[in-house]
Amino acid sequence: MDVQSATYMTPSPVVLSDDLIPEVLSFLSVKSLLRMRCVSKSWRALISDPVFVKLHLKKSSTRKTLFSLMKKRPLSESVDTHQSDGKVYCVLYPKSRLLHNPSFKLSVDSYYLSNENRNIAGSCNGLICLTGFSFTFTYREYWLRIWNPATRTLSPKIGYFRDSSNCPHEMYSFPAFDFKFGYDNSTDTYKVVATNTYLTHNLTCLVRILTFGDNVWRDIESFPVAPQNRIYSGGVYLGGTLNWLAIRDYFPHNVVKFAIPVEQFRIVSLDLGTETYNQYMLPRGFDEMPPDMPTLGVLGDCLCFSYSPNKINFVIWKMQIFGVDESWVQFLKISYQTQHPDFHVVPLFLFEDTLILTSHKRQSIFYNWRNNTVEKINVTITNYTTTDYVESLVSIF
Amino acid sequence: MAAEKSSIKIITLIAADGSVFEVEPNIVKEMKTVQSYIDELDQNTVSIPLPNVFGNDLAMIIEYCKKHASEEETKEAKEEFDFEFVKRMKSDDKLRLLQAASYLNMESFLQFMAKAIAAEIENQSVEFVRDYFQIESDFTPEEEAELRKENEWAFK
Repeated sequence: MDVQSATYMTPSPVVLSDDLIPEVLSFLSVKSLLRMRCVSKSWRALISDPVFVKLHLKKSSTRKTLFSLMKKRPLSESVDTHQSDGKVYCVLYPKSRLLHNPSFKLSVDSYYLSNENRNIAGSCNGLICLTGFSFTFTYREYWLRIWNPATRTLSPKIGYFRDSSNCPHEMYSFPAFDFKFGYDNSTDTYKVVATNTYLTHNLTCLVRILTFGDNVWRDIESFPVAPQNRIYSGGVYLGGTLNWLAIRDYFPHNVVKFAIPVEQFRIVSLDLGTETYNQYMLPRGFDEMPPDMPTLGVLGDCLCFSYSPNKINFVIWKMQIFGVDESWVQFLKISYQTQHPDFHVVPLFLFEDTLILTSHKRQSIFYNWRNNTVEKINVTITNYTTTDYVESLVSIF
Repeated sequence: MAAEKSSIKIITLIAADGSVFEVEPNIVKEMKTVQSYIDELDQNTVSIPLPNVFGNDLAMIIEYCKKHASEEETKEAKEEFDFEFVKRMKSDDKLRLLQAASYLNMESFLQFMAKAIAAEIENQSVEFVRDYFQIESDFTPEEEAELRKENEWAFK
């Protein structure tokens, strides 16, 4: 081989053509890329070029190896330390590691502190939208922050607004608005939708929207059917839309006690591009919704709807083609051997063969749907605190 | 459907150093540059000179294409092959194969090589990467120090 190669032109040191450099670099982690900005001026320019940022995000999205988790606990050593220092931390778990070794130790590098941010409004393209609020005796004040944990950049507080709705003073210490974050592909902008969580007596709901960049709140038309239980399963982001579960002609105090005919349910979908609503039906595989509230979520890029028809079964339906009522299929039916006294679970993530669920009591469950095996784990993963996440170079505006 | 229309049975590829490779049409399907050329022809055999690809590299690319075009091989066997394929290569081989993939317009092979190169430079120092790609820094020492300071944590 050596003699042979010496006889023809020996390949000179290879210098990659300029169009191939981005192809290689798009496979790198954000951390490496931030370091590679020092290689040369052209590399620095490339790494902050929006076209490259999108290419990198596209590759990052297919990896789907990470999600973030935020909780009010310090995480110095192991994941499950139960001390509280009043701050909020974010942890990035590689999904594969979490599945194969749920008790792995976190390295210092894998989390990042973010102070005074109470909630995650959503995560899109590597950006996490955080919300927080403060209150006095006469009003509540909300604000937003955009955070890119991979580049370790955090925006200043933006989108302040005050809510001085008439309510008893003690109520001001509870937030009355729920925030959801999403990306509008048609205009390449990020938006946040705020809805008030307490319905007025005529069952209407205030819907406000903010586009990052102009940072001004605008009131838009209210929901055609007001969503219920929004904290629990509302405002699910999927491909440029936010989706809530709503019930027509209902009275709030009935929900917990009685089954509701399935025809009364609607999925109300807000298109972030047009800022208009669409309504979809639930699957037709059952007649009545049992008292336990059903859940809307996203599993494997499909809108999913789950509920417990009784205390021993848990059913997940999948809308295979978004927006097409006829495309609902039953994805999973999980049965417990014995009746579970507190059987109410929420599916959170689907990763390879494993479905991650959380129970009422914040017990996290890994369910392998191919082998039908269940594993309970000690890491707290809930829908309040956890979000799908892919790292990116997308800037925080 | 273009492949069916073509009556070509054997394709001869001639590398930069003159070495000759006879391959079947399904092997070159991935090589869009070659494929679009033979789609235009209506003859039994064809010789295609590839002045930008060396024989050793072309041999490897053909080996890769054969493995991946095979319907009998399992997904696992192909993954195992990919792993070994990259393992026996030196850095320069990878860079040359990436260039060749680009020249031959082989999308998935290009992504495969780009990923293999990225794996080599992930977690490496700036100096290592400059050396790897033969890049001269055009920053002044002050500019570079300033840039390093911006994301100090990324250098740890």
